[in-house]
Amino acid sequence: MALTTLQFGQCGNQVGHELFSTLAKDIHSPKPGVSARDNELYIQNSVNQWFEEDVDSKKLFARAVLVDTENKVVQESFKKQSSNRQWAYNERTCAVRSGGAGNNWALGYQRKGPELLESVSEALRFQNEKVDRLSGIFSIMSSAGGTGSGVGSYIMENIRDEYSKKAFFNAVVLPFEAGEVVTQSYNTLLSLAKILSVSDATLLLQNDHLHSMLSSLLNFKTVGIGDLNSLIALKMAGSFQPLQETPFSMKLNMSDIIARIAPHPAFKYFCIKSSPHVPKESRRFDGGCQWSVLAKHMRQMLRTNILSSDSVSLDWELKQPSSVPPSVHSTTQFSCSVANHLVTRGLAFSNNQYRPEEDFVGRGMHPRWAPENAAFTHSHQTRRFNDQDKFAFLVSNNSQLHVPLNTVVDKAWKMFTHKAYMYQYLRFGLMEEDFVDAFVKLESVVKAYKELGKNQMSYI
Amino acid sequence: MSEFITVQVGQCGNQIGSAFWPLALQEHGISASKPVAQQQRSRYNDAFHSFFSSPHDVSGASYKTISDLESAKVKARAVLIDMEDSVVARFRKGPLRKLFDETLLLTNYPGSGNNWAEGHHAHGSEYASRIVETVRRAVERCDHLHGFLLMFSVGGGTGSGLGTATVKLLHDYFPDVDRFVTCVYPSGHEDVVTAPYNVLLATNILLEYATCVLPADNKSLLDICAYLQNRKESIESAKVVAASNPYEDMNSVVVNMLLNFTSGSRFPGSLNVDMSELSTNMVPFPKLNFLSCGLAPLGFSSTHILPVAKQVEPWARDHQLLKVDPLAGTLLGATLLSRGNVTLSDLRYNVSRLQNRGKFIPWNQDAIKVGLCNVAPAGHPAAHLSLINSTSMSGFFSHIGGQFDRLYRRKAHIHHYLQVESFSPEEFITSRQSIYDTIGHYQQLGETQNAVLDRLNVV
Repeated sequence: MALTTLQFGQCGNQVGHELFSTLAKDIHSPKPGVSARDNELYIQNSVNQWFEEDVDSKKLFARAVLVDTENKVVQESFKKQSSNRQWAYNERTCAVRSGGAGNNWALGYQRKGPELLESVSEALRFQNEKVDRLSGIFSIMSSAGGTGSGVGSYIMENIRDEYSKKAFFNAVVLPFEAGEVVTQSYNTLLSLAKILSVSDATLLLQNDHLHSMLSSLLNFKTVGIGDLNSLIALKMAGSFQPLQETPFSMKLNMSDIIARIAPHPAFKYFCIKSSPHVPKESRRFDGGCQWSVLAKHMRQMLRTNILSSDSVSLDWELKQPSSVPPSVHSTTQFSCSVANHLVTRGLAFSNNQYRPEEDFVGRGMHPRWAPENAAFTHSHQTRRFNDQDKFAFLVSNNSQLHVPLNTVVDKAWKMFTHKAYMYQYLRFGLMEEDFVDAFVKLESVVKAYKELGKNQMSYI
Repeated sequence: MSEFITVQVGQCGNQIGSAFWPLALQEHGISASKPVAQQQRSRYNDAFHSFFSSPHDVSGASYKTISDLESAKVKARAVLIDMEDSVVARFRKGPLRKLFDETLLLTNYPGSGNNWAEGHHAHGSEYASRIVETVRRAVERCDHLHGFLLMFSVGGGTGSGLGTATVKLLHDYFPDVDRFVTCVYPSGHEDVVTAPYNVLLATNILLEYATCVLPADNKSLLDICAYLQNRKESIESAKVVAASNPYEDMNSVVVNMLLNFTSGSRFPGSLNVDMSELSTNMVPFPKLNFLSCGLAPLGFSSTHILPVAKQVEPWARDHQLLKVDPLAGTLLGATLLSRGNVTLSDLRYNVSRLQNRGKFIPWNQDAIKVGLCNVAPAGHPAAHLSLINSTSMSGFFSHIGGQFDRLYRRKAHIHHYLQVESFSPEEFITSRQSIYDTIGHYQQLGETQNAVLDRLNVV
């Protein structure tokens, strides 16, 4: 199991850097809580998945390719790592063309992407040649700007053929709804539409949601970009670090999870929910809760308000798990999920205690066409993660995902009907039809997700 | 690092330039007059090349004094154009004289006699090839040219006429490089009788050929200076003021705006804003490229100022470099750039405040672009800059149109313009029409209702 990570643009490079730092920290964890043999195995698997190890110095080199149209961020990454003895980027694996993509998807896609393609493919080959068996390519980008979204979708589209047999999936960081970039809705629309036909599965990360997790759950008084990126990295690492086979859970690697989570071509999006996030200052008072409490808490995160379908008014990911069964409002129901994958990390999970299947299967939680044993899977790893005794991650592909997508389409459509900013995109050879195509694609995704689980729908 | 070439045209442009370079050096810990304390020296010396070129490939870290720069043959990326020798001559004598490359200076005598047509057409065509050649020399020294920063006033003849001619030339010869124009508008009480003509004719060219225009007017700059003067007396004891006082005069206000404006392109930050992103974000339709810029804090701030995010409102009327209240109109787009000690939460707080205060265009309720740059300006813990594209800019254009009409109705002073050979009287009419079209476009946008078209229905 070996992955190559592609980092696009400022956001992609920052998140990627944070991801590898989190992974390296996990690998070098001083308190793994498992036997030396198990720890060794875990480290070996993790290193094989994300890094290559220098035989002499034992230093880890991230199996990553850094792509940007502007060299400040990439330079920062290299600068930061000179003080870092645990891991590093290989200098040969960065492709940078200066000039920026001007927050313009069209400039990134039509001009900067083609300019960068050759050096990116080269860097990618350089990385992949050193691997015995490459299983997938993982791209990280934000959708708001021009580089991540425009260059990212161009490159992904154009290297797809060369790696047609590999798992191809990506993470997209969605911008703050209140605005980061004025043209963010166009850029997001265009890149999601492009990526949809290229990627096997897309992890959606919402900055707004991450920000509220940090401020309300972890009591951050001020939130920096770095904090958001750390949280993203934690969620990714927690879900995709090696898992083990136990009598009650399956041993799945990253591409297995991706294949299970996105089994249907109409439903390729997923999110990662995680718990418990405990503020540092109260962590030592925290006795921890039962796995069953934690799992039930994760299940609550799938709840959605039936009265206002467009907003998730109850967000259980913003609450701490509690052993007292929380009162459940009658206007909520579980949103229908194509697939859920629960990852538990930490103290042993014994068979007779609790079976998460009981909570995650049945009762309208999945569409009829999804077989129950495929729609929910559970994997465990006894090794402690993030220095916590218990940590759970729910990789979920559910109907709630239509909410952020719907917002994007809605905002982009409003601008589009007034032809605002269009000349900036047409200038670089994009056509109005390209926009219309993107709208059609995304509208059908939104509709499919919205109506997921409704009986009258048929997907044949 | 991205690079910028400043193009200073005419008396006013070169005066802004003379305030620009000492402050730009100060950001890198190099002072023109007195040595700068060690700790103030910028750690981000790669950014040095944004405004300066050196024949040797060394980072800016090794330069500490002006004489270091001189011995290393460091040159400012500046093109100086003037039809009167006086201001440029002062550069030639000043302490920074060796910083300017002789081959990038373009002067002549006599001037343009406060006549836009003289500057734009007569000098414009006469000097076209020399201007292009000079600019090209500066461009050839760049690796990653990001944009031209043009500075001139639009009231007179040279800056207004030749300045806009230069904008046009840059548009033709370097179409891929953005042209940011900072131009100073007269306040109406100047001694230039023909200013209304010059202003309107120049504004028409800027609408057409500039990427973004960051206008300032003398009245606002004077008010800001007067405000700062009062503040200075009240906090006389503050030694900080004496140590670094970037607000010496009106030009420094403009320069501070420019330095903050380009900071995201020059220095690293957690949320970089490149200049090339600006027009994508701020100009929804062609010819709506005039942005109202506001600075905060306006005044001096020592390290113990009030909590940064809670107090500053760069979008406030008094903080604008132009006598326009951006929030009075419909907002087409806004950019908030913060540098220094500002967190994402501060920025989000500012965004939500601006969203509550301003009326945004219905089809883009969150048209806000944000940027965070790590490096604070010299002598401040933080600074904020807002750029707003508002329909209240139509009031500014109406004023330009009104002033023009008053003079043109009586055909006063027209003969000066008609004397210039290649100037056609039609230009008065077409330029005026273009200004009024833009006013109409703003007004139409101000009345925009929400989308009537339903979203696509997929089956």
